[in-house]
This record gives sequence, structure tokens and C-alpha cells, in this order.
Amino acid sequence: MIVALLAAGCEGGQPLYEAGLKDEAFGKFAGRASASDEAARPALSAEEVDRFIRLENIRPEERPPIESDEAGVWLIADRAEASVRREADRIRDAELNSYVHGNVCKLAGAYCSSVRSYVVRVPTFNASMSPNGMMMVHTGLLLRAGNEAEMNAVLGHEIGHFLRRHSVQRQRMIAQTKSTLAWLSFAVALVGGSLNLMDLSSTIGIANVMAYERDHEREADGYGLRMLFDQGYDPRAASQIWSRLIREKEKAGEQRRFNPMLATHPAPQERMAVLGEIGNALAPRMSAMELGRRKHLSMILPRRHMWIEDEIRLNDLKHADALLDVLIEDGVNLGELYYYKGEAYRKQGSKEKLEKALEFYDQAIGRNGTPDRLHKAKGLVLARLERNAEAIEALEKYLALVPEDPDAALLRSQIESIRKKVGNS
Amino acid sequence: MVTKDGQSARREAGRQWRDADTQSGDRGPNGCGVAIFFVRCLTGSATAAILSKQGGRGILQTMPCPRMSRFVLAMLGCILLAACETQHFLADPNLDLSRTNPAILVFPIDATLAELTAGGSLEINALWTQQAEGFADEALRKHLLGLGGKFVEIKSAHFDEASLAKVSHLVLMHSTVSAAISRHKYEWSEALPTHEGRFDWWLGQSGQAIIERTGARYGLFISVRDSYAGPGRVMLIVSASLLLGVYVPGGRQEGQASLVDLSDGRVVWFNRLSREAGDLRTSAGAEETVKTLLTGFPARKP
Repeated sequence: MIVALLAAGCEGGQPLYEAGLKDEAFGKFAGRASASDEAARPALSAEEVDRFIRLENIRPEERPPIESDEAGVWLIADRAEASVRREADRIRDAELNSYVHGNVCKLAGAYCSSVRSYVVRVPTFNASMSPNGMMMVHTGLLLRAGNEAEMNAVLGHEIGHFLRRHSVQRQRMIAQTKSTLAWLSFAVALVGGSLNLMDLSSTIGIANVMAYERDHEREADGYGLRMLFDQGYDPRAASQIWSRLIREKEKAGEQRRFNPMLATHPAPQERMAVLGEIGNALAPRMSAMELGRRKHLSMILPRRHMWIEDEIRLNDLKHADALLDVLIEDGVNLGELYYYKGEAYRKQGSKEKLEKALEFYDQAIGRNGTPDRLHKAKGLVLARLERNAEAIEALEKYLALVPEDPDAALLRSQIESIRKKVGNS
Repeated sequence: MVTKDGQSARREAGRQWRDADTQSGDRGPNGCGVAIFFVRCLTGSATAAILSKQGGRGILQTMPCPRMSRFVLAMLGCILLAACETQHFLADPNLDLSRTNPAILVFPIDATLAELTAGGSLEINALWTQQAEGFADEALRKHLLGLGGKFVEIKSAHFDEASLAKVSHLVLMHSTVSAAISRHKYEWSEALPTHEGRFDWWLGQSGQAIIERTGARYGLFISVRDSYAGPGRVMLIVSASLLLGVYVPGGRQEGQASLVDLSDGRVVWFNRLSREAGDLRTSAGAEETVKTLLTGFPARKP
């Protein structure tokens, strides 16, 4: 039985990325045009994809029968959704919600009425899908996606989780694994075996479950690609968003090593490479490919200052710096981005960090999107560094630009006290 | 605006509550805690005996257990555990609702029923859950009527957007506070030192909106998490017990019930149920569970 567990612990691996591309149940894959079509070559059969549990896709508008275990999973998800609807950090901005939901609906096709999306104000690159069709999209994702296609790669991935019923598959798989281990431990105890064997078995069990979860992620990635292809988006965007994320992690100096036994997702490098390969194979077959950059920027740019502030508020300079560097490489509204780099350094408070902040403020001036409050921040930093004449100049410039600032009286009294200090010295 | 007189009146009332609590006898060891202590001693000494064969000792040897035979420990543990299904607290032991007979707002019972698999996973069963909520609501209605109580059921028609938000707030506050009560009043090691043994928990003022809209003075919250051993688990329990002499636990019923005075948000009664018995899947079982959950409810039968 241990050998069986070991064998089953082998992951489906890379062929699973293509499962979504072959899924006729989701709709006719436009790629199956000719017999010589690369993607038409079957890499994995349906049975191999569901190693333990054979599950068909959920059907559009289907609700599981109430006596099934799936209905139990939906019950919990429905209750969680009721509280997400009331949640404080749910964004109720109608325009943004309609942008995100419009895309979710388009990608989901026949499943549009089964899926609901909620945008939540959380500064991480993530989105999640509940088994009942509730999707949560974090603002950190909207901030980092460079265009509509990149965002849709992730939204499509989440829809893939829903239509392939991964939550129910996972629950059944965990229950089966734990039951096998329980009977195994009973058998071991019956023959008077040592306890060390049980540690090994449960470790194999956990590794097995994690491998299954990684395979689910690969399969969902494939569905994301499929939906990009079907809706005419550039399929290479799926790989590009991973490349952005990897660059951000490298700049932040994150040394997190991929744990092949316990990782819940495949390594970002694997996802970038495989999705890139498949994307490059699909791209030539498309007559027109949309990236949706202008549409995405029109939604994100007016709102991104709040989300960047959320990231800076995490108080991790390396992280904020890396994110802003990647956004600067993207090259839009650099004035705003350099201002926020300055803000991230200003928060740190030490002399070197304050001086670096000033450098960034100066880089921001004269570029697009520079906010007026830059002069206030600059003035406050200069005052901290006791460069009094420059501080007064910056603060007065700010007050001339934004006389209605609620802190105007406070700033004026600060200017006065700096003047007094200069007068006294 | 609280006047000086108002302040001293409130302080006096507060002192009365505190004195009442001292008399309530809710301080110090109670039946459930003592029973668990004896059972821990028994299992501790048994495990220590096994481990000492393999050379391990550890902290089990330092547990301050009475020197008695394991048999006596087991008997005492069993007797006390049998009485140990519920344990309740009252903010004021003299509270008797049957005297004033106020209206009680009954919140829908929050139940989750699951099947326990052989490996110990809980698989939630939506059909059982839906049926159990129906049985339990019905049983609760009958029980409260039997006590001569006036109750109001919560209907969305009572509330508009704004007051509905207040109701949600109260429900959320209640789930947080009841989790805190469960933790700090039912585990000796987690007792809050500043409470000094009192039962002193409040939900804040959101209940005012409910009083205005429904005329109810108190709110009754009940929640139950129940699990039942599935066929695989039953097989494992029986095999382990017969062939190995090892105890494998079956399903458990964990529930809590609380009565909140909506005028000031004070939790006036709280009961926790924890046992390996009880079946919410039948209407008779639901009646028994509700009756057990309402142990110590501050109202006498007319």
C-alpha cells in the first residue's frame, strides 16, 4: 500500500497544462482545426487527469444534488459568500466591478451566470475561487497586471478551478488518503510494527495531496490559456504576468526555495516556461490578438494610488521598492511611481532613507502623473533634514497649489516655526 | 449626557452584578473540569506506564495526580464525565424570565452536520444540515412555548437597510464574543485574570435597533456543529476496539446557546454542549438536543 501511495504521489506534471486546451466539454476548442495540429495530439487522457476521482466538469447553472458531498462544500461556500458581501474591504466601485465582471463573464462563456466576482482591497497578487462560483479578485492583482490579457489569464485560471470542481476533488482525495492512512496505521499496529513507519506514511500522504493540488493549479493554468485563446486575447500574456512576478520577487531578493513536497502551486519559473511554450505555439494560429492595455490602464490609473499606498503600508521597503521598480519598467505615469518610491523611503525615517526619498521626489518632478502632494512630502522631509530654506519653499509651493488641504493651518504653523528657527540661529 | 447622579446609579448597579456573581457559585472547580482532570490523570498514568517501558517519561510524570488505583480513577472519571455534557454560566443567578415574561428574539439556529470518514475528515452533509435546522427551530419553538415564553422570530420585513446592518453587526459581535467565552470560561488555563471568576461579557449597543423594530428585549443565539461516524469510521472504531483495545473517537456534538439582553448587550446566560451523543437528524433527537442546550435557561416552567 505504501508503494501504491508512492506511485500515486507522482505528479501528472506538465502535460496537465494542456488538459484545458483539449476539453471539448467546455466548448469546441478553436485549435482543433487540422489533424496535423500540435495541440490536437493527445498528451493525457481524461482518466489520467483525474487520478483517483473521475469528475466531469460542472454543467452551466448546475447546483449539486443536496444529498451529495459537493452540496456540503457549496453550503460552506455560500455562507462565506454572505459574509464577503458585507465585508469592509470589498470594493463597491461600480465601474471597476463592471470591468472585472465583464471580463469574467466573457471568459466563462456558458458559465457566466454561475460565477460572481468580488473585488477586494488586498495588496497581494492573487485571486481565489470558491466551489460555488464566488471569485475574489485582489487589488494587488489588478495593480500588477500590465493589460487586460494578463488579468484575464488569472481570471480564466480561477474559472478553470470552478468548472473542474477542484474543491470537491480535493476534499474527496484528502478523505481517501486519510482513510487509507488510518487503515494502514491499524494494520501496522495489529502486527506490532514500529511507529516510525507511520510518520513516513503520513508524510507520503501529505506529499500526495500537495502533488494533487499542484496538478490542479497546472490544469487551471491551462484553462486560463484556453479562455484567452477562445476570446481572442494574446495567449503569451499568461507567461508574461508570471515573468513580471518573478522579476518582482528577484528584485525584492526573495530567496524562497520551491519545496517540491509541500508547495501548493508549481514553481513560478515552471509556469512561466510552460505557459510561454504553449502560448508561442498558439499565437501564430490567431488572426488577431488583443492585449487590452489601454482599456486596462484607463481603469487602473485613476485608482492605483490607493493600491500602491496599501502596499507601502505593509511597511516592507524591499517589497514596495521591487513592486515600484517593476511598474516603472512598465513605464506609465512615472511621476506617480517615483513619488511613491519616495514615500516608501520616507516612511523608514533614517537620514539615508530620507535623502534617498528626496532623490526620488526630484526624479518625479516634470514627469507624468506627479501628484501635487509631492511638494508637501518633500517639504516635510527637508524639514526633518533641517534644510530649512528649501523646506519652506517646498511647503509654500504646496500650499499655493492646494490651498484647500485640511492640514493647511498645520502646515502654515510649521512654516512659521521653521522661520523662527532660522531667525534664531 | 450622563449626569453625576446617573453615573453613581450605574456604579451601584455594577456593584450589585458583581456581588451576585460572587454568590453564583460559578467560581472554582466545577463538575466538568474535575471529571476531565481525573480522566487526564488516568490516561496520563497509563501513557506514562507505556512510555516508561520504552524509556520515555517527560512531563506526564510531573502531573499532580492523586495517588489512587487506575480503576478508581477510571470510575470517578466516567461518573463525572457522564454528568459533563453541558456547562452553563449566568450573569445573574437570580434572573428569572418567567416573572417578567419579556419577548425573546430567536435567531435562526446555525447548524452544520457532517459525516466523519474513516480517516477523520469531516464531510458536511447539506441535506442533514437543512433538515436539522428545521427540526431544531421547531423543537426550540415548542420548548420555549412550554416554558410559557413569548418569542419573536427574526423576519427581514422588520428591518430596513440601515437597521439590517446593525443586526449583522450584532450577529458578528456575538460570534466573536461567544468564541471568546468558549475559550476563556471553559479552559482553566485560559481564564482571564481581570475577570476574577465573574461572567462579564457584553456585545455593545447594536441591539437597540432590534428592540425598536421588534419589541423583543432579549436575543437567543444557538449554534451546533454535529458529526456522525460514517460506515468506514464505525468499522474502524469496532476493529480498533476489538482487535487492538484502542479507543477511536466517533462523531461529536458541539453546541452553544446564549441569551443576550439587547438593551445593554450583556450576555446573561451562556451554555456550552460538548458530547459524543445526540442526533440532530431526527425530530426527536433535535428535541433532546435543544432541551440539553437550554439547560440552565433562566426561566422556570409555569
